[in-house]
Amino acid sequence: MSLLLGIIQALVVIMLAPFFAGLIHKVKQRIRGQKGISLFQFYRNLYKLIKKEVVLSKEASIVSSIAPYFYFLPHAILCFMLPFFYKNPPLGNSSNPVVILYLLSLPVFFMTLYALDQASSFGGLGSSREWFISSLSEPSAVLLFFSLCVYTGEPNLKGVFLKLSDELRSLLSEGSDHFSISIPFLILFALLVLALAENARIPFDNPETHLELTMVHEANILEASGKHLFLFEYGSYLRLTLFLSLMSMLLFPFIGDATLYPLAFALYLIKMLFLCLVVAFVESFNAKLRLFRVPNILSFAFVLSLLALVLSMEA
Amino acid sequence: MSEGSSSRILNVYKYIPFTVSSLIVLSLFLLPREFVLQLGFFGAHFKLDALSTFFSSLLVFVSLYVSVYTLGYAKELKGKPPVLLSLTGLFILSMFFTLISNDLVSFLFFWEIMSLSSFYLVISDEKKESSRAGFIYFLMTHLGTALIMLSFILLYLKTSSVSFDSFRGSADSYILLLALLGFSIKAGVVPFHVWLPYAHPVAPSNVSALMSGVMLNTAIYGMMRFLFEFSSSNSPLISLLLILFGCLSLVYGAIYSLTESSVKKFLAYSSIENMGLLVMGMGLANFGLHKGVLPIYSTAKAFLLLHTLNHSLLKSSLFMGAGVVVKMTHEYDMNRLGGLSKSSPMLFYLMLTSSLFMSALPPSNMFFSELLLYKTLLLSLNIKGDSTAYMFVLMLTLLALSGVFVGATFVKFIGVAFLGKPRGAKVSSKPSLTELVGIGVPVLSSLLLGLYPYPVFSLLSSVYPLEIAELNYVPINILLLSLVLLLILAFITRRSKVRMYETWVCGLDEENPSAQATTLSQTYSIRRLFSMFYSTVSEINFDAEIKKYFRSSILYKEEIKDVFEEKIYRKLTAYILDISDHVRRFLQTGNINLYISYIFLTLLLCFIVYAILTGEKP
Repeated sequence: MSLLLGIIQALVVIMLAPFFAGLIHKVKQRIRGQKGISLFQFYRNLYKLIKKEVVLSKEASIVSSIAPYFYFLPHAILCFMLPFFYKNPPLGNSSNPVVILYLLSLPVFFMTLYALDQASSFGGLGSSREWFISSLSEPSAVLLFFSLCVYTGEPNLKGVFLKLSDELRSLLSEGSDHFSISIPFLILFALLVLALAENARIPFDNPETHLELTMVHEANILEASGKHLFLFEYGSYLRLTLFLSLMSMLLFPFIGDATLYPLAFALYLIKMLFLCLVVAFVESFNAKLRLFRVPNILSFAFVLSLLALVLSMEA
Repeated sequence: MSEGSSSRILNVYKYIPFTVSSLIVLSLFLLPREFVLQLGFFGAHFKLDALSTFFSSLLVFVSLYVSVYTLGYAKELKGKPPVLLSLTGLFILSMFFTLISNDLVSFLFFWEIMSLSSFYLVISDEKKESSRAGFIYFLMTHLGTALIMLSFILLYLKTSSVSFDSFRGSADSYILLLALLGFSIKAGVVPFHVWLPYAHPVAPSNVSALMSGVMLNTAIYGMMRFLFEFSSSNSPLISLLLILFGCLSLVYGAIYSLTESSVKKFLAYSSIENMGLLVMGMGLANFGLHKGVLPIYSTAKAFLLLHTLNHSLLKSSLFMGAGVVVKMTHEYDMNRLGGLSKSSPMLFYLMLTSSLFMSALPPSNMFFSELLLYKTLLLSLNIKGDSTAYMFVLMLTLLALSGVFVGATFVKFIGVAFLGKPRGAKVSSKPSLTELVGIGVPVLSSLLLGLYPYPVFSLLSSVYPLEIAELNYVPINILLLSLVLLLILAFITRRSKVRMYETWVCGLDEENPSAQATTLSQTYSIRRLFSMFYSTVSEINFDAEIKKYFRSSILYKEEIKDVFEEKIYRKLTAYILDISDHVRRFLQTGNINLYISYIFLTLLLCFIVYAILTGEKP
């Protein structure tokens, strides 16, 4: 029963990912004064991509055929690891922070290889920039996850979020004093910056343009088409959803068991909608940064996560 | 000697490394756990205890498949192949005896044979570049040997015994420091690494594989012997130093292997990085002992053993692969390679897998060992109210940073050398079967080790009592889930067709392979951000022409130099040369009377020293 509920949770998150991405897109368009796409447009795009044929480059090696799968799969697996709203995710016992981080960089490895496989000059740009951003965001991500683990004393993230949820509940019911606001607060801000950086969002990258001077993520997958593009696109929606979900689990940690399943899900949905709005607003009211200004913002995130780790070591 | 007879001789000699390794396998099974070899008046003691057994079995395994690889690679050897192959056998044998020696004389004897034979192997192709590399290697490795010898002599004076058994728990911290310093020169820990990026790439690839895969392990073995068995106390200072130098090597190796464009040199830098990880792990283990937190000690120890194993497997396979690439194209520079995935798919698959594993991405064996290191760090961070714990925050950051660099490095390697279009180098031959088998064995064993490491864990803990904390990582479950998901994906996308077409080049019709990414462009952003770690010289040359925007040729050259070499070693050498010049002018005036008086004074000094030491009247 708990396995089934866990699998349902993962599938629901996977199914919802294009919706969240579409919602952000729609809100951005409305802010710009455009009418905006339908909320389900991204599902239609994906369906269209599945039906299209794949055009492979003549220079392509086997990397071009396997990289899209290696981009999609780790993200999908991560959806089975985290307790988004139900406390027993099927792979919860593997949700070590290091496993999660390395599963998040496995897709980057293959996507950048895919870019170089096309023998085009765009691919090189994209893959070089992708690693550049990664080199700055990864240390801060490690510190951030470890500070959560040190703060709660749990070795894996499933335990971390369950414990946070329990703490919040005990705080609400009997007013226990073991509860830190500052650590989740700092981590939330750092995670927001990381979510924008790792998902090609506006201060870092603009996924809507095709201009070689600005693009990072798009330059990597410029040659992808058909089901390969489907996998890349769906994978990137999942990546966005994962980062936002990590934030949602910190925002008001409430993870239910079987009886509270619908309530916890509704709360998760509300939190995710709120976060989507936040991301859309941040994207709308900021301009894209010059590439070599990116370290400034990311070092800010790094300092925040460093502070969080130091605080949680003291706590 | 005619062509035929020399190739016939080669055909015999190329089996030497293989024979030696097989003999060692036999002796590992047949030899008693402890034995004495009478060499004239001196009995050399050998003992196969837990640590020796682990390291020597690893040595045997690596040298076996490297020897298989050598069977195919032997034709490529330059200089005098018969001597080279015999010395490779001697090199393997001396490493084996170093690892199982149980007294200081035989240890130092075989250690020296190992150094000398590898020195000859480094200079074997008789070029100027390799003799320079050989000289630096010779100098550094003997500096290391001198320090190790000194620490052994001090131990001997303290215990008045040559046996390792009596050294147990008697090395004070200054002896320990000397020995660790000596061994870290051999391991290529920054800032004593200068020989490594020179010596490993110029040696023939089978030798580089052995040097990086196994010889560095002998240094790790020595450090572990001293640190965990001979040392009398676990001082926090030693931990601090080990962690400091470990971090330095880690970041330094990662940063330089990222920007390096030679297919063999970047692997040498990557070895420095991995040695840094191991030294860091030793520091953590020592810290755990000092604090009395046993989980930290045992997890760090498990990391040390497992990471040594993984690094040996993968680094040797990568070096062998790089050797095949050089053999196929006669080109060391990645920027002139490209498109090798089409000329030799099998080599490409093997190199792709080893690169993926070397980047420590799941589900690799390297990921498993790094997970153990992260686990150790998490355990150490959890010690509340200890000011040294803040050191681990720094380690964590550097570990993550170097992890990204390693990923970028191997994407660069695979992407530039194997993918895309050829950038100029011609492919003249195909890898032979024995070479591919030699590379395939470590890759396959790494794969198995990554997916199901528990048998190896239990084997390791039978060799060495280990207790590994819960890792929260079950690769088999993840694998099963990904298989299910793959099936679903295959079902969803079952109807899609594939068409081959040209890459989009913005409507231009020219074919320009040099527009692809190079090692310089691929690492430009990171290089610019971390520019303080590099000492870069770049120059742009073009013909003075009127047409400013349509130049016919532009030459752009960028050279990245080793900061330590430029800033420390070069200055140090200049300083030493300067001093010795002054001393020479003072001592060697050319007057023969003065020289005779030197001889007389030396004799007198000898008498006095003898008289003081023995208390006798001469």
